[in-house]
Amino acid sequence: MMGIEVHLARGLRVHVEAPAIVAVSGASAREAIDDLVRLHPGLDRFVLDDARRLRRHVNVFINDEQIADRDQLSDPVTDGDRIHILPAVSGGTGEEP
Amino acid sequence: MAEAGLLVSTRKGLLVGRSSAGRSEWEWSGLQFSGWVINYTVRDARSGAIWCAAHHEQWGARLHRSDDEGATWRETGMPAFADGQRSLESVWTIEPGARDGLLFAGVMPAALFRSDDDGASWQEIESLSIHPFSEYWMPGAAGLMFHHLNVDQHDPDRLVVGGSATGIFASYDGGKSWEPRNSGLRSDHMPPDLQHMAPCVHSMFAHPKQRGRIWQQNHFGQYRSDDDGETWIDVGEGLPGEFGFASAIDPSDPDVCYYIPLDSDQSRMPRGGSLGVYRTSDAGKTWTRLSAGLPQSGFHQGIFRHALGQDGGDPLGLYMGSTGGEVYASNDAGERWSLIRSHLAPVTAVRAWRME
Repeated sequence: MMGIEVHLARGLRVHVEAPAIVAVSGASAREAIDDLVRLHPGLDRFVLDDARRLRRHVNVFINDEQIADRDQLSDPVTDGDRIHILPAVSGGTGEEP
Repeated sequence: MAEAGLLVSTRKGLLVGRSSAGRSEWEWSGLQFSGWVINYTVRDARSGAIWCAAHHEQWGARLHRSDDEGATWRETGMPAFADGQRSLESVWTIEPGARDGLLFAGVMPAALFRSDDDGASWQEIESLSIHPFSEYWMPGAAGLMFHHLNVDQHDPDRLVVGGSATGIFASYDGGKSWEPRNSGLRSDHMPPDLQHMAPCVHSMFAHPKQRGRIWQQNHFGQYRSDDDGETWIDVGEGLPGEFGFASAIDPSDPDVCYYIPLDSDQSRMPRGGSLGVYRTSDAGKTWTRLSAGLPQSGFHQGIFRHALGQDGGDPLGLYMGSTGGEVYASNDAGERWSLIRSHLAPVTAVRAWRME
């Protein structure tokens, strides 16, 4: 069984100890990411918000396609797929305390 | 000679300072949480623990705790919304309560959380989030949040909280119920009939020695209350502008308060590039401008809402951080100031404590 590969960006692994590539299983992006955070719990807060949506400034690609459903993560995945989790370039801070 | 510890939160990390020579010299930690926005860091006088509220635009919000005065840190439990709708963006303040293990956190989007187990777990105080007035809350330039929590240090059920732009709420039952405390405040961002619904609080401190006395810097003026916010008195006469963010009290004297008036909400900088701190010692009747050692021309920076702190010492130590990454200190209640750090990221918060 080939499984699904989750590729973790270096910018994420600066903060959380995890390998660059994690083998997971699942039939949707949700199931694959749930499996990822089960294997590496420290990743959970970095990838998902309180409502279990993708964080606003986190990008997920399935192979070379940007994920379509950032809230429910219902995009289908299958064995042999690569999921890339990447920090967006939009993360600059603009707020004024 | 009194000495102090100093927590300087910035948009790019945290610095911990420790004074010597009567608070005239400073030794500094290296930059901690490099690259993370530190909204607020505060020391819990009960335990000596230091709490640090950090967030990262990409990776979300975190709370950290240090039990060795900032030498090492560990991540703690984190407030989180349970409704599956709202997502916590950042923690704006954290304050210890009047019982061991009791903590409160003000967050964005506007909500209040409490922990009864010293930060291991947090619960939203939903009675505030669903208060009928919340329909009128609206975000300021930085967003919609609670950022000033006045937690009575003798009665764990007594709280007065404020935010931008939520107005002020008091609770006398530990947060089960809330009373708006906005009477007498001006709200130029609201129509005349809704002035009391959601004033824009910028900073607010209840005095520990005189129950009921609260000092407030509002978006639209400076105010004092002597009845826990039931009524507010405009104390801005004699100040050079009604706008500003930061304020500080002297914990030994309820009649003393410090403000840093800025030149309107359009510029948010001191008028004429000249930085001054204003002090009253008579409950707001008169004001003295304190500026010795501060830049008197060419200062085109702001001072954020949590960026004026005091150490409770005698004489009072005052500390002020700027959006240009400078930190100024006074060891004589503001009479003379010195630049003690520069070249930092914008300073978001300055909190200090007196070392025994």
